[in-house]
Amino acid sequence: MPWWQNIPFLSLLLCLLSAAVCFVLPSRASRIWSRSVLGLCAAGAALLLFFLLRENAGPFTYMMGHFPAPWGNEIRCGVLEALLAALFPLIMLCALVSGSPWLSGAARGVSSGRESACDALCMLLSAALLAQIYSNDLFTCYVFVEIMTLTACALIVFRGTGKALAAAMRYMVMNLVGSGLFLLGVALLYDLTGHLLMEYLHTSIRALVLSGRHQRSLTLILALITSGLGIKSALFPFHSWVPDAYSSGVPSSNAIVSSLVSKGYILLLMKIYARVFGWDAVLASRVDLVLLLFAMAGMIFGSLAAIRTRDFLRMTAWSSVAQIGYIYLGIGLGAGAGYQAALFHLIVHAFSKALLFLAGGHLQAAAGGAGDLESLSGAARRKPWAGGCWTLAACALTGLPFTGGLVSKLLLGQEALRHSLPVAAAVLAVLALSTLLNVLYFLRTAMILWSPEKSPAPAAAPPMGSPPVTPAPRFPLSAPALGLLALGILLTFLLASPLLEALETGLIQF
Amino acid sequence: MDLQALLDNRVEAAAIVLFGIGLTTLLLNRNLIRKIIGFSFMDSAVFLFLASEGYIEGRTAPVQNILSARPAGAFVSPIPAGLVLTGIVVSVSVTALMLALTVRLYRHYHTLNLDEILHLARREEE
Repeated sequence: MPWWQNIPFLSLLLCLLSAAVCFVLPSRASRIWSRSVLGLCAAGAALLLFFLLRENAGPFTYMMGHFPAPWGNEIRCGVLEALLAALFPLIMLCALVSGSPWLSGAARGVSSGRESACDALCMLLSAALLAQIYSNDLFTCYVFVEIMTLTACALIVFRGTGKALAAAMRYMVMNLVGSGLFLLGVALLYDLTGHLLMEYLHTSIRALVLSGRHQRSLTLILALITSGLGIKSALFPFHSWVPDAYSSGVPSSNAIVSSLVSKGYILLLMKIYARVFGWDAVLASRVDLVLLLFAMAGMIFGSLAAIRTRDFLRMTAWSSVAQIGYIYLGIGLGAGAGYQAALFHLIVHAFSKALLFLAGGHLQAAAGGAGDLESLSGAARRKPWAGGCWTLAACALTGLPFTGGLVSKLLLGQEALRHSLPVAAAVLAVLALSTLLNVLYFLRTAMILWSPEKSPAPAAAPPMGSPPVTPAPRFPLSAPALGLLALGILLTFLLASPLLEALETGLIQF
Repeated sequence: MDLQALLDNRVEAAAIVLFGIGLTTLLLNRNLIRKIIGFSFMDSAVFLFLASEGYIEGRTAPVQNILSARPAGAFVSPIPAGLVLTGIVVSVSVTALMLALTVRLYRHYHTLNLDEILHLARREEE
């Protein structure tokens, strides 16, 4: 076995151990430690990707412990897994570096003393994400799904305000329903096949489908797993917890929760479709049509709700519902090119949503911490770099040229044309309408952000009646981190064809 | 015929009924403590299901005795029990987190009714 095949296991182990280490380290040390571990994980996965592409070898499996295949636990890694395992820790690193004064409480003039706890949570979350990416065992996936839910809940409640507590409770209730359904699905699947490793599950399910037995049970299991993970990743009718949960933390935690956590669940669902059931079984049960309908409804309703709200953060959160709809649209359009479009948009959305929340946090800080849109007027002129980053991310989510969003929309449209006429027409119409709605609210917000200030306040005097001014916190490495995310958005456009090629190879190996 | 199938699978059927009770309590009950109890019901139902599926009548726990070695066929598979144990650990940590959240919410809003809490939180915001 070549040495680089140890990277997935080692990065998982490193993240899990660091979670324990960060809890006991003082805040400064834990900050440096967690950032370095995330960087190391991203670099390791990039190295893995390089070797996988250079050797042109297929995916490899890695036995955990000393139990061979049908019983033991496995890691399985191909090009796609390595690519995502490089990008997710990178985005988390950017979110942490860009917002550390918020996390340490320095931005509010207090030292929360909870920074090392937050670092530990982020390490645990990245371990869960990596496990979601790499694991080949369904029950291991379940355990890490729960770990991800718990850490995300702790990040949502990070500020400790009443609003955050209520949002976290709502989040937990919905997510526990989701995990319950998913767990029941996994238990039924295990009962039916006697396996937990995905390859063996696939063989058993193929045999069941061919023999025509247990068709209803298989459909039920598929429905349970789809709705469970759909609830957890905020698919349209199950999105009620999203606007509060994605808008009640500090900007860094909002960015991490909204851009990364739901992606882990979506990836797991795609993995189950592709590797456990096989796309034919999914097609036979018509789940793809349900996903398509929910996705299209989500694309419209998410954008409409974003237009209606006057709250800056809630608008950003509502746009997530619409964007998750795009990803599910790709999944609903089918294996192969549809999956490719879904994964491409998953990457674009992970970059741009993180950037939107982080840059939005800086803009809000520039406007004195106010939450509604009107009071943000002119904020982008005070912090042009944050305003520029925000606008770029908004362009990416709208699908304007020079951003990856355009590519994913083109891919989705192209894939829709391969379907029957009614489906193609519906998808194209919804894509056009949703783009129009996106333009509406992002353009409106951008115009407010960049509008000239009404009264050129002399030397930015604080408004009357504001609390005593604490010295503005310094964000030492914020601009480079935001720049890196912005670069990611641009690169998904400029390097679209190699990225798509890698996704294609990855999907063949998936 | 169908009744016989139901009788044969009575434990599994009971588990599914319990799962339904737990799920509806978790979703629809407004009281936070009852929601948590519903969650416990739901998870325990899945564990009951797994445990009943993992047990085969006439076989024993997979512990090999050196004095009287038995063939592998005499044991049940240890994996379902392992899954249940792992699941219980997960369930306990989730319950702990939910209870901690409930305590914080009660201290803040002096009520356990989630609707009232959400209402108060919204008013607090304005």
